[in-house]
Amino acid sequence: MSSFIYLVAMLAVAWLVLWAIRDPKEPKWDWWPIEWWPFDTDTEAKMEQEGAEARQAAASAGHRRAVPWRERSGRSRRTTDAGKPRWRR
Amino acid sequence: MRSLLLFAEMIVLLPISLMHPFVGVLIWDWISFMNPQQISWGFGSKPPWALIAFVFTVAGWVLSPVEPKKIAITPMIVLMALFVIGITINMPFALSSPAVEYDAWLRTTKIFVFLIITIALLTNKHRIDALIWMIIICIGYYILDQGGASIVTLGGHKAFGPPKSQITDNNSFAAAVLVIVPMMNYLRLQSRHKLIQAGFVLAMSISILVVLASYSRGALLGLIAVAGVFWLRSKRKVTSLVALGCTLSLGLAFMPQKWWDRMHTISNYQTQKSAENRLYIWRIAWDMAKRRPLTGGGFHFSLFQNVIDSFVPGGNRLEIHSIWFQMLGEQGFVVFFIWLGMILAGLFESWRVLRVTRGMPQFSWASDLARMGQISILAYAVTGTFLPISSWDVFFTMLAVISATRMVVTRELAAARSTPEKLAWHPAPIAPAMGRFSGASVRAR
Repeated sequence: MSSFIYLVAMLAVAWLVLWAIRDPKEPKWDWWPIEWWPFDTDTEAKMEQEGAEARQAAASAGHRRAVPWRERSGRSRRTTDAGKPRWRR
Repeated sequence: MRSLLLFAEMIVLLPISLMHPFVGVLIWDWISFMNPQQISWGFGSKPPWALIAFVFTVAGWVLSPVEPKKIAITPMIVLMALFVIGITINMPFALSSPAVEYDAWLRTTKIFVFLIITIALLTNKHRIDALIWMIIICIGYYILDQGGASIVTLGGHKAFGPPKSQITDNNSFAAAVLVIVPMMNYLRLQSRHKLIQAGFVLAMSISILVVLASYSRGALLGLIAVAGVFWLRSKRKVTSLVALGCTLSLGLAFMPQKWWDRMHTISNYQTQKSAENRLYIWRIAWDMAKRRPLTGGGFHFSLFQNVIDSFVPGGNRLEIHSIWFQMLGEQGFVVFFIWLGMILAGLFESWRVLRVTRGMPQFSWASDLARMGQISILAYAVTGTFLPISSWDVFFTMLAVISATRMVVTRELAAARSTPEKLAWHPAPIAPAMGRFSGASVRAR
């Protein structure tokens, strides 16, 4: 059992090194027969998903209220346009 | 057979590291974290692979026409350099034997010098992910090996880490597992394949079992703390609560009666010999720091009877089981604060990444990594309080990864600002409000 895990770990290390140096756009990588890389990440899809979730949240809340006023305006919550606290306005 | 496999793999990979020095970084970390030569038994285990990898990497880095030679001056790199300078200045004043002091100094120096090179070569997300994968493969090997043995023996097997490493004993290994579980979760979150995601869920469950199977009381406390913070920092509170609850319950139900008997001793720690010994050696470390605040006693000073006798005549020689007291007693206040600064810099840089990437899905990977990195730092701080792993290479490699992540994010944001015409994502009504930049959020390509 231990030797089998060792073998898998050794193969994983070699495969990881190949993944780390490969550039799929370069023709010199055409020789590699396996397209499936276990190490591949999916940032693009996640980005799309999070963007869609944010848009959906915004739509359900009526756009403006989906994002806190402080983030929309970029101002501090405690100050007014003149830079004074609200209670001193 | 193992020896032949290791030898063949090194013969193939080392020349590649001359052309691609980042491969040398991966090989160095593989040899350092997994210690494959210690479990290979044969001619393949004889050569000094780590040293060879070091030489090949530095040569490849210097000769490479494309790799950046200039090392960015970041807080983490400055602190790492200061740490090496600090322990080097302290070395002649050590109270331990010159041979012991020199060995420990050389090992620690090699770790931190190579970490500076690592940060310089971690230039993009692809490399950062590759390094995290390497950490997971190396420690994951022992998690699967020891977890399998625990399952087969119905919890009777006590889990141990890589031989002849800083995390060999059961307590340190359990702490190491707790520190890398958040990184497994980062890769799970980022993985493209459902199969790999499911594999990480299984690996994290086995990791929890291994932490329990270490029979370490400190690790149990660490597990509770990490699980709590994990839940607090997770995005889906209900799902994570159910998953954590189920996994912990299953793990606890699996453990035999002798495990429960050992854990019950936590409640009456005052009568426990190990707790008494820890308090005793912590006090000696603190007294050493007060007596020699600038230089400390040197690496492993607490293992020398003549040094112990100067504090407690006839007292026991023990390793200092606490990262805080170990660094303080061995290196004095100056190096202690530099070392503490590295941990705080890791926290600060992860917090900074979270702040600048808020509301920017194209940097969700960095945000996930920073969030998981914070949990890892907390796991190290909590479990390390009872363990002698103050210069554990895997943890400081993770700090290097966090530092490199911040540099990558900063660079990509700067590039995005300079080429706004290339930046457009989601021209939906929400887009202007979500990014940090008024008018348009960015999508760095």
